[in-house]
Amino acid sequence: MTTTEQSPLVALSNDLAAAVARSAPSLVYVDGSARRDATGVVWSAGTIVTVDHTLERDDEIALVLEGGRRIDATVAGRDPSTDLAVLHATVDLPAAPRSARNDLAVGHVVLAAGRDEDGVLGASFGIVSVLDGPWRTWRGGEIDTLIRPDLTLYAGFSGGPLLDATGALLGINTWGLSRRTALTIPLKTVARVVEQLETRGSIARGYLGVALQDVRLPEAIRAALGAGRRHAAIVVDVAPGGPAERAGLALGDVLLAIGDTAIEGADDVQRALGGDTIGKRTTIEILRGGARQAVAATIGERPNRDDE
Amino acid sequence: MTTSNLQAAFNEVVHRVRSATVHVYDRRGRGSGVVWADGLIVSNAHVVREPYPTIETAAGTARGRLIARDDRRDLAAIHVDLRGLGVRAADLRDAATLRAGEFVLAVGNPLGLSGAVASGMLRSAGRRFVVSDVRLAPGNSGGPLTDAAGRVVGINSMVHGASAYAVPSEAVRAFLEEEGFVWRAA
Repeated sequence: MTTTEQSPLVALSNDLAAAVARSAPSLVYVDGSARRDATGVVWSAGTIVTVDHTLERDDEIALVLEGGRRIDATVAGRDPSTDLAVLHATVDLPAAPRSARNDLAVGHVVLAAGRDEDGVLGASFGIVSVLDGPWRTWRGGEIDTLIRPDLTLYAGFSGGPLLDATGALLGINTWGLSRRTALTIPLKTVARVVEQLETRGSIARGYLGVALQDVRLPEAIRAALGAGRRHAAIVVDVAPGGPAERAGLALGDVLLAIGDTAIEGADDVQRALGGDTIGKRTTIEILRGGARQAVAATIGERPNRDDE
Repeated sequence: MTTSNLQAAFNEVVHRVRSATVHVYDRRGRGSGVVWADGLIVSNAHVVREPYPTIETAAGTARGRLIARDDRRDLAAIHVDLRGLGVRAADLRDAATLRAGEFVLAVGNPLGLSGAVASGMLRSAGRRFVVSDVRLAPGNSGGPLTDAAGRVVGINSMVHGASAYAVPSEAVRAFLEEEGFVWRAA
């Protein structure tokens, strides 16, 4: 019979508990909502990364540390499109060690961790279930890699770390980007968003200067467009002096495509206007008076939320 | 460390935990129990509703006698003559010594299956409950939650969402001491 000391199962269990313990000093509970628990990860000295969807307010944010100590935090920036938020707090916690590995593969063992409102550490484990290329969130955020971990992501673990088997940070877990499944925002995306939020307080997004509504396409047009297109977006308002007005877009124009992105509803327009489109001359395909036309617009930059 | 070593270790610890786990049932309910000491089975109060529950193992059955119960902690103590049942007392560990990230195992008799095993990871060990993500079914009630070495850290009690709740081993000890039983050293 294997003794306790020799059992590889016990060794693995101890290794994983040690991996969780390695990240633990960098984990805090984030009190930013009366209803939703979240975890935050110390990214650099005084800077904590968490998820946006659990922050119900922009002030009176508190962090709960190991042992239950509460400290105040302020919101440095929020990006609903990637579901990330950056908090500042005067606290001497170490930054979470980040994973340098670039060989993450489906099947690798990963850990999730979080703290509850008393600061008690929790963990769960599983494997990398899906890995894929870049994708855009339902709010238009650009995520560099699709990572879906197969593990128990407890409610308060949103904003907490996905860790490799050594306890190094792979990304930030969230329930906020898919209704069906927990996903992980990869390090590369987190680094990019944190940098922008720290310097600007918001994420640069493309701007057309139109208000839109979803619209059903008439049969004849559908047939001409092919490929089962049924809906598009109709312009119901044009901002004076905005990129759309300068390009000659008018009330009643129906948007069919922006660049390479087919427009099947107002949400698709948000998706088509990522930060990378700012300043670019872009072809917009429209339906005007029943005829298809193309106009060229130079995509602008969306004003900050404070200015809106 | 090879996968087969890990598998062998898993098999070994499951075998050990099963040898300290029993069926507990009466006319009104059915669940699992842990052989806490010679002659002493610990289970959930919500499993044992009658004074003389039946204790069953692969080797046979015996008539038990309910000697104490605590509805608040959801614990019950049953005296039984274990001779001929092919079981032994469980190894024990204080739940408070568990660290987040350790493996846990649950053994029991869910849905009429004998000695079914579920594994998961410890979320946290509090004073009232040990919380993990092992997947429990109704017949797991009263059965053991153990660490990776097979030492019992709690008595599986209930499920809420993805979380499984077990009564910590220290609460079992407090219960037994209050009832006048002596805690056997782990």
